[in-house]
Amino acid sequence: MRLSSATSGHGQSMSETLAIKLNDCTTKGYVIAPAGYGKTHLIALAVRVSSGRQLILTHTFAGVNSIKTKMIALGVPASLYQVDTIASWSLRLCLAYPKTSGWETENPTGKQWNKLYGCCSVLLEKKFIRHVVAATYSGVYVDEYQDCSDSQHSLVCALAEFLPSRILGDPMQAIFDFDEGKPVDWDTSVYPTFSCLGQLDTPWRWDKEGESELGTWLKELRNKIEQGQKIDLLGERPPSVVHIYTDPEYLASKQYSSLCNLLGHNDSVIALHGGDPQSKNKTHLLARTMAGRFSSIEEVEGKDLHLFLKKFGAAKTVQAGFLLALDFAKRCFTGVGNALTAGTKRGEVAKQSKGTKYPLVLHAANAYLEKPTSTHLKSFFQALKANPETSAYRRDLLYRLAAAKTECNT
Amino acid sequence: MKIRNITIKNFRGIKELDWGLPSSDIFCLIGKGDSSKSTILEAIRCVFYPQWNLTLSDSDFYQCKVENSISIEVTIGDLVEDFCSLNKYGSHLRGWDAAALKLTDEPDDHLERVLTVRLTVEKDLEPRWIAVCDRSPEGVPFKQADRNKVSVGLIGAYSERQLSWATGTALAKLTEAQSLNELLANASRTARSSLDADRPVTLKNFDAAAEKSQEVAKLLGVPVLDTFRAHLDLTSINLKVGGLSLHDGDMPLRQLGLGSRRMLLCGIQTVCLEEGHITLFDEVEFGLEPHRITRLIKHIREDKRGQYFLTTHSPIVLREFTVQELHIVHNKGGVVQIISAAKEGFEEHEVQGKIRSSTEAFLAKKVVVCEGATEVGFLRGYDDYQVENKRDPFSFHGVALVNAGGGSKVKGLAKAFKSLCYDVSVLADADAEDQFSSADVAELVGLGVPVQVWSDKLSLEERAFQDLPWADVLASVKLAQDELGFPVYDQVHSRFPEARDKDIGTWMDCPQLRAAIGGAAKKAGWFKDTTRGDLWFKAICPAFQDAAFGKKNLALELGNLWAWAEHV
Repeated sequence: MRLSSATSGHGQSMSETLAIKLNDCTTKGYVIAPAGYGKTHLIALAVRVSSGRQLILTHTFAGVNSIKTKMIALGVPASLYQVDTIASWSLRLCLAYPKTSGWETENPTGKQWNKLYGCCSVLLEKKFIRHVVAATYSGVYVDEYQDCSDSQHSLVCALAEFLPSRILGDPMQAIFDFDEGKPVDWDTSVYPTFSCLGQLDTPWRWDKEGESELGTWLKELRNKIEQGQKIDLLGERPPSVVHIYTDPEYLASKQYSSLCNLLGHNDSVIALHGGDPQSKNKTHLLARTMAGRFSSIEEVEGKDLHLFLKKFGAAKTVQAGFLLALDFAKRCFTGVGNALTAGTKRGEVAKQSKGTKYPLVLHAANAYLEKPTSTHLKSFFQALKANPETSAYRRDLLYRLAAAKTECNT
Repeated sequence: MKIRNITIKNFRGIKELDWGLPSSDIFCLIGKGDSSKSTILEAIRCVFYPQWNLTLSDSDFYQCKVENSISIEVTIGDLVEDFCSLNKYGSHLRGWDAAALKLTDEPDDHLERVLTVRLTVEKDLEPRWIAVCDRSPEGVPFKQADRNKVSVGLIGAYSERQLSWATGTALAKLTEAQSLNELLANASRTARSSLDADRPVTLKNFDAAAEKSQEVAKLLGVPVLDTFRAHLDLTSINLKVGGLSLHDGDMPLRQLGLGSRRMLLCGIQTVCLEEGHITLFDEVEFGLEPHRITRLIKHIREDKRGQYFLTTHSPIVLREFTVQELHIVHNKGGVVQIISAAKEGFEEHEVQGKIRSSTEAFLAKKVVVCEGATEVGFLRGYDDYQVENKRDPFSFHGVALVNAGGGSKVKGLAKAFKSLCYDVSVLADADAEDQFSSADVAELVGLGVPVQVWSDKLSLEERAFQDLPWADVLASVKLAQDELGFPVYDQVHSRFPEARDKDIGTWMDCPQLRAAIGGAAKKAGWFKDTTRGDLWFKAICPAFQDAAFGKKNLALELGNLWAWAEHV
């Protein structure tokens, strides 16, 4: 399926009425909005009619990006919003006032995050912080609310004490038992204190793509689940839903061939790996097998990147640092070995000879070894990316590295 | 917005200053000349310099030592909402405790939200403005637009520019956004076409020259597209924003008298700036008559939106302010201290009354607290005498004389001045233990206040008539009798019956007579006001040429006082 980015002929009048209702809300309100029903679109419409700056919080950077893209597409002035993840927004606020928040860790991991949200909620009790936040934003939107943990929910409630707070999400979409902590319970935490502003009920994403049948089918399934009825995935279904069966022992090759069947056109394909957190590595492995035709997505915390940057920062020599970067490159690209000379592989400034296949990569590596700046490192990665031997299968990781480097430089 | 704290390092005459400001809207800075009052105003102006380019030079560094960079930090409170936003300086706020005058790095609910802005200049002379806190020592740039928002206006000696619409002036801020540049460009175009209007007459000769040039051009093969003519070159018509200035009729207001100009500026600054302003007024009295000073200060006091920093050397200005508004600036080797005249615990010293009665002393550096008018007059005479003998006067050494108005008030007054960090010395009688006791003397000396009292528990008159050569004694008595009209004979005779001769000139020197004269002079108050005290000293000054007198207590104590005035 294709990720939509363009504006389209939504049922404008209805969405706009709801958008105005969201914008007019002065206290706490929620909108039930299943995936693909135009949630981002609704937020963008609501922000567009706002007179002040709105804070839009979500959970993932992908979420941040898709909201930003929607804002630009709908021509919402950048001065009217700031989009951020709950994690980085609260981390930044807490770090701005470390003594008051009691938070000093710049890179929280695992369970520390929940503590951070606690600290941030306490910080938001302070009048001066409320003043600062209220001077910055005139309201809050939280997207994908079903993914909020209890501590994130408390944080949002702390914000709602003094700012209009509108939350959007689909309790039916909540994922239980993922890593640790359970998601916010709408029955006890949301419904009693937030008022219902509306519900989205048109599966726009599929309608727009001419797959209304699929949208309607999904909507029916959703309704059944909501009412506690059984669903039959093998029963009557639209032609676009395909089952592929395999024995566990042939799973890998079946995955490979199925994915290959999905290539050969310009649209995006998303493959989800079923299972537990362990499947992260399986996903990377599968992406690697697909030689860059599929690229795997990193987990939110970005442990791999963080680990690399930490080691990289601690590297004692330029050579050691370069070798670490090389290791990292191998985890992002296939075929790195083929693109490098033996000297480069050893982390040495190597001479170009007649046999040098890829002088551009060699020069980029030498440039870094002679003058280890982040710009040179970036150029080296770009040279690798442009090289015909390699293909990136962890593009998300690469983007994040580039983003991290850019941030360091500014 | 209002200033809460100022720290200055290595700026002009200030090596170091850390000043926590009490909550007040008016700060009148006083102190001896060169105590760097104006530098403080200038520092505030630089931190909130409304234009982007602030030109500094080596002489702006303390003692011209460019290796010690200039750093000026001003902490402002009463912040506009905009500054509190996380997009601006919302992550850099700090807390100000107005009672303790203490800055904490993070705000809290019982503290005021404040922002510290730092201007640093290193030897490259490049000014850098940042909003800064301990948590973020590298800070974030404090932009020109935001400096402008603080609305700091300096009304100094040269402020002609202020009555124009140049960037950052009060008039410019008061004017609603309108593209002045476009207006000025149009004006230039109009000038050009108006010159064109009567071309055949006015530009006849110029066009003739142009025509000749055109022929030459053609001859040389330089292409001529139209015709050569004389025209105003728009780029050389220099109409600048600053050229638009306030006029009364056709007269530019910069031609107003200095005082009027300064008053008008102050008025514009206060009336028009809705968001509040900080007005710096250097030498308030400059160009103003006393009644206008009074009016100006009344105007300032009524303005609740602004914060004022004023400097003055004028007793007239000083008298208009309350102790809460007065701050005394002391500069010792570049280390500057600013002390509020309303410091806690000063009530007992009735500083306010002292300011009214001893205004001049507050403008001095060193203060001699005199017991009474006699001492003040006597010392004035002494001062004149020293000047005649080619010494520098008290005023040169920054010494002011204060009349305590009685022995019982000496200690309080001396302590009050001392606590305001003045150098204080006392000249008093030691003849009345209940007024000014030896314990009082000891206490003052303990505080570092030298005390000159006459030996043997005598008053000035008693001491003088003990110590003076006989000729000067008689000169004094004659002065009291002939010039000042006291019944001297009766008064002395009643104390010392042996002095029978009504012709004072015949009196013979004896200790009893000296004591009697001293007693009479004191009791009857022969020299008890400043004029008479002064006259008295003039009558006896020949004594100071007398070597024997020089060893007497009177001369020694005066000598001590003089040495203090010259050397402390």
